[in-house]
Amino acid sequence: MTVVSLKRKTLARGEGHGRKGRSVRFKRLVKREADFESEKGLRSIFAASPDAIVVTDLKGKIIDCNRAALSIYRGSSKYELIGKNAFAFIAKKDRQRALENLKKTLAHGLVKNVEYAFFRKDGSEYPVELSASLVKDSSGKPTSFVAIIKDITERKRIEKSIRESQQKFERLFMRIPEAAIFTDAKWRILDVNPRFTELFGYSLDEVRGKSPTRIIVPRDKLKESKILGQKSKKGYTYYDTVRKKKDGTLVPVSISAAPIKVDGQTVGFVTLYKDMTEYRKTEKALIESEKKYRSVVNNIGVGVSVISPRMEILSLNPQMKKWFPHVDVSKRPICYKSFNIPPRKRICTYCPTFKTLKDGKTHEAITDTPSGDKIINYRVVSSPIKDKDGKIIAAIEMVDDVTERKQLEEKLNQYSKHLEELVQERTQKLRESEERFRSVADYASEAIITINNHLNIIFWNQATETIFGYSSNEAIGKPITFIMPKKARKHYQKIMRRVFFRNNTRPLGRTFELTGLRKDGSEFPLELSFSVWETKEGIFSTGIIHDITERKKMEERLATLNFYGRKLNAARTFQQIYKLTLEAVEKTLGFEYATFEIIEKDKIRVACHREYSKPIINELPLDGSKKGIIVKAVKTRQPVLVSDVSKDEDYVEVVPEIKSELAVPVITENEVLGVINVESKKLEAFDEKDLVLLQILASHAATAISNIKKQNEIEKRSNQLASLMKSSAEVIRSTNLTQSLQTIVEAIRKSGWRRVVLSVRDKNLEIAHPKDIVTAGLTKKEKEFLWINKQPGQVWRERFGPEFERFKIGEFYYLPWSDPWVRKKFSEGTVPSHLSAEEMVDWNPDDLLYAPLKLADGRIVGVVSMDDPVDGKRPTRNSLMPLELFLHQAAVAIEKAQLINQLTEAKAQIQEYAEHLEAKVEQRTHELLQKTEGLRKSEEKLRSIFAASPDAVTVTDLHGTIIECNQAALTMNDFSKREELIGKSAFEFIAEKDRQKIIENLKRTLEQGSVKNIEYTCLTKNGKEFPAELSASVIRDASGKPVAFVGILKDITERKLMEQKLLKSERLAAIGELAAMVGHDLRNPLTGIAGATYYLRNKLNSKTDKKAIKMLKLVEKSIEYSNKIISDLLDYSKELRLELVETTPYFVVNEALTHVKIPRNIRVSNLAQNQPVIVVDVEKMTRVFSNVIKNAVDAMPNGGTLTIKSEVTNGKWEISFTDTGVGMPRDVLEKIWTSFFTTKAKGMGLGLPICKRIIDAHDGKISVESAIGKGTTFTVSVPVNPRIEEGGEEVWMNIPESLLSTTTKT
Amino acid sequence: MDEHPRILIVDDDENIRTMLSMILEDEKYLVESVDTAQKAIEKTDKKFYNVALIDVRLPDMEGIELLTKIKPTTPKMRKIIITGYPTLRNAIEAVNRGADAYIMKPFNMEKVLKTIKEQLKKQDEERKYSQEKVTEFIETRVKELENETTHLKKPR
Repeated sequence: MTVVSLKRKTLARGEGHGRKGRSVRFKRLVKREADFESEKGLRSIFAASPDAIVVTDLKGKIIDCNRAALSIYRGSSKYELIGKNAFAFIAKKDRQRALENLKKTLAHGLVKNVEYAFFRKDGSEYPVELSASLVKDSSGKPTSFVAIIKDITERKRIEKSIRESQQKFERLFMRIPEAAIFTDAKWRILDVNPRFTELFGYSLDEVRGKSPTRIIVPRDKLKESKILGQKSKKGYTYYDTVRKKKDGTLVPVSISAAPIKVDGQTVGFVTLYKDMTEYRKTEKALIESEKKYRSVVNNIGVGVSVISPRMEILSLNPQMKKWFPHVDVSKRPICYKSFNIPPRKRICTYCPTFKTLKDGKTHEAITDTPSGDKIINYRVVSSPIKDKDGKIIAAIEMVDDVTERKQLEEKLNQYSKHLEELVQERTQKLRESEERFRSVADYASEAIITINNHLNIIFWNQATETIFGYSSNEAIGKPITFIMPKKARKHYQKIMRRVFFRNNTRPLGRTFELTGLRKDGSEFPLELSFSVWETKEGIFSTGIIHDITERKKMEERLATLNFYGRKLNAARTFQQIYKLTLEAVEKTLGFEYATFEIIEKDKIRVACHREYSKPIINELPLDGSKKGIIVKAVKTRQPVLVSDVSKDEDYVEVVPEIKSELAVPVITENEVLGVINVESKKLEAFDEKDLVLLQILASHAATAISNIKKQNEIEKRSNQLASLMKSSAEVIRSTNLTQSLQTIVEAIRKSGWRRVVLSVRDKNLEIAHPKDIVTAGLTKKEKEFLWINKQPGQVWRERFGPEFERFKIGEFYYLPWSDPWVRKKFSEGTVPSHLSAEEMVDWNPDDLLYAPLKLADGRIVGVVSMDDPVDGKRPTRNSLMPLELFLHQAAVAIEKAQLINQLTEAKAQIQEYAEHLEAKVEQRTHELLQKTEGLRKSEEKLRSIFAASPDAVTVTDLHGTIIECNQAALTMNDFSKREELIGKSAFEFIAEKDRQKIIENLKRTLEQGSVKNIEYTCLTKNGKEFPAELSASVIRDASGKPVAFVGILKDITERKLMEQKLLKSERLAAIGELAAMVGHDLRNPLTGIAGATYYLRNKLNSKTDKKAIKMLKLVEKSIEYSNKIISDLLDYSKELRLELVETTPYFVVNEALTHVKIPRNIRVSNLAQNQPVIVVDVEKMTRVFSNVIKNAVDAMPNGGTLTIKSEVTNGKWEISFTDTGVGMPRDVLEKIWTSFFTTKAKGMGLGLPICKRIIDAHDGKISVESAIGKGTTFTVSVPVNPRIEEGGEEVWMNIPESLLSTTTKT
Repeated sequence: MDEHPRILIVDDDENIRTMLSMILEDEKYLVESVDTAQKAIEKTDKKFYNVALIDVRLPDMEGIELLTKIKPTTPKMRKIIITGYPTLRNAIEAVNRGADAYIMKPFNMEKVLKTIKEQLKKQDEERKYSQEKVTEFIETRVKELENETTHLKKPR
């Protein structure tokens, strides 16, 4: 298991410190002992080894052993061991194995780390780890065994405790009531608990090492799982989703995952899967039953009853109550006894409900129900009601009175027959007969109307008169429509005609709901059942009319109620429920005063009220001390309807003038939650209907309240579980005991106890230190009280003893104060409760609840006690069980801390010892060093400065002989060894010309103490000159007498070069300016000459003055040439600014060729390519090319070929101009880039230098190859995309030396 | 419009002034010349010149600066810049400031004459064009007036 390996790791790390210290000491030891002979060395190692070393002969007889061997044996002398058989020290069970291993050692020469049990001198056993090797003599013959034996008692013990805590963890893990997996940091499953196997169907073997994602995550949730995984790394995660079982079915789960951290590193995760199926099912069942209920309400026209499996009537709807007013549901009567009058003794033979309860299916039957002397036929449809587990818990009956229909049919038949008889038998006495008939019909209790085929009323009985308000005289002969609302008349007429004149579809008895119009103009809903009959006189229709106003009203109220029922179901808070309920009461009943009262413990209080102007009595005790209608409703669990309060002895006046009251209890299956109460100042303000409605509402409210309660319960539980998980993870993670225990204590407190005390106990169950008491919910004073009044360990031992066995609930002891023995035993020593008995349900503030913190071996390491339960209830097995986990956690945490403490102590001891030794050594070294230290320190400082100085530092005597120098001095003068320099005269390294100067300056130094920054020309070892700057000062002895010079020499070659460069560029800039000025100024006279020449040439006659004109043309040419010189000079002096354009080599070459006049005897082969696209300053590049081409032409005075080629290589384009001309000698080639160098009679020698400048500006190169008599090739190579700094090239950047020398010398 | 176009030379080099005057007079131009920018401004304020040849470097002012000072007063005058130190930047600057042409020293006289002729031709075209515009404007206005009068004549 990972936990174990982790602990091992921690331990190994712990040991690591010791080993490090030891290895340092060992190295020192080795160094010190280096001179020893090896034999001697080995022996001393043998003697000094902390591990036991035993040498035996080949048979196992001990020849030699070291001190460590003796000490683990606990012997006093070597001779106790020597001569004995080594096997005698091995426990019997291990001897056979040892023998085999000995053989192995003989065969392989070595056996390592074998564990055995050994005997000590006193016979006690102890575990060891043994490594043995074979010793051979020089001839290779085995002579003896050497065995190194380590006492591993301590290690074993630690391992054992680790194993135990691992087991404890495992037990915890296994006991978690939800499916849980334990994974490593990479989400590989290490363990699963039985509940996991139960839920998902996978055993540990099936999933070990696999990722839960691959096993139980449905494919569409993979992404979610990934996110979840990442979230868990950060800490505790809680999430509701769906997972897949082994059989492929999905299961809704609530996942909680938390990382397990060791030293801040995540080493694994614990993930819990809470099966939410049950929860979901309950929800579903609730919704479904609600739906069913609703459908029942909607079809309120039929009777509804709920029958239990024992055939008890559980509920009746209003319709059923109407039919069976004598049935009292609260008494749970048996149906076949109640519904039949007189009662039946057995289940009715046709009973569909019985069948339904048996097989869970819907059944239907028509009953023959005796009701006194009548038989009533009910059509009963019975359907099962099932609970979440599918168990049939009741049957719901839908009951329809079909008797009426039957009777009506019969009646109508009778009428029709009767009429027929009348018509047939007494045609002539029709009027009399009719009169008689009418009198018969008149007495009918139902409203009856007969109409003829013209839809005129021909019969109208007394009941009809009552309903409509018209007397029969007023009604007869009128069209039937006059008792219908005007707007509906046409529609009804149409329907009636259809009914009349379609013979084939003439129904015998049909029922319609219509709207009727009374004489007083009011409208009302009515139900019409009618049949059509035919006589010789024509077609007639007789209808029976029911006024259904009341029914409709009821329906409406029920619909409203139903609406609120749905709203209630969606309510999320109790207050919402109360409010909605009262709102529903107002909408359906109407009232003057209404309250929703809620039972709390033994009181009932007003949770919500309406219309009461000021706070009414808020609370009523239920202990029987007070009367009241509400109290009665609670007590009887029955609605109480009081029509006249003055006649009710239970009534208690709250608001004066109240005349009637209705109180309905809000009841769940087994509990009265409260009462809905309405009051009115009218007498008989409420009737049975109101009562029923209020009851329905109350049941809605009850369902809603219990839903919320259930939900709260679920939430509470899941929160508890979450905090359990969280604290588990925290405890596992934490190494600080107090912190761990505090976490546990807080967690217990969160799970429902206001005060929790946890104390760590030693083996005598005593508390050693106030710190060992960890509490939650206690004040500082109370904590002190606990410490002062702590009971002796003996008392506690007794409390966990057999006498107290009977108070045990799981691992807890619950001592109720009600027990006299307890009262006797405990009279003091506990912290008094903060709460009074009144605030509790059944918990007494003096009750005691505690539990031992036990280790696996039964050792008690602490005690936990709790007080003041939040819910005020006594603890139960169920409520305490989850807390047991904390007991184990706390015990493990304490044990863990104890182990760590022991380890730390051991470590500290070793450390202390090591430090002691080291301190001694150090002290001695220190003493020795101190003597010389002072002197050396200051010298060292100076020396380090001296050595590190980048400037050459030289110390000479007063004659200039070098006494000392640093590395820089050597480097500067090209020496490699100090010895080469020391003893030489410093003057040797000063150039001849400066020797006088330095001698003078040294004199000055002597006088002034120092001189600074004087420049000399110095010499290296090989006589090379370099400029340097010297600062020198005098060193004096204690008496102030100068004894030496210190010279600091700085090589200023670089600086000098920079200075020269600067000078040069300044000069060149001046030349440039000059050139520009001269050039410009020369142009003006040239312009004048040119103009004058032009004038003269125009004035001369081209025929007579031929020679003069020729001369003038010569002048013009000279001007042109002069101008070119000026242009070149200006170009050269000008700053180069490139205007870059995209073009191709071919284009530039072509452009250049147009600028050069090519003589006829020269052939130009232009092989320049039209690619790549290059970026150049076209104008300047053209000038370069034309210059090169011109040179080529000049080089071929006798004709030849100029070949121009271009190519692209490595991001550069290259173009070459090859002529077959005279070529150039080497000395010319060297100078051609030099300004003002030319081989031509004409020309300034600036052409090629300008070309070079332009190409340089393009970041390119121009080069030349030439052979005398064969020709010359100029090659230009430029990057395709030149990197050119903005602002162009600097003026005079690449001016050759010669220009400088020529100009500066003039 | 005179038969002979007027040309103003602005250059501080006396030789060049003389030489240019002689050649241009031979070409039947009426030529006047000044050696400073200040004088050039005074001249152009008093009289209309068809063309001015202006040297870039003048003792009291840069030729290009002079351009901006002359331009608002005599927009119709054609201004040709003469320079002995040509750069692209100079040229752009000059054109932006209202130069109509650009000649480099030492110049080819034939080119100078050609440039002057071209400028005069452009000037003439512009003038004609503006005259046409004026004529056109007058004609349309007359028509409008005529129309108005016909309207007026109509009985109310």
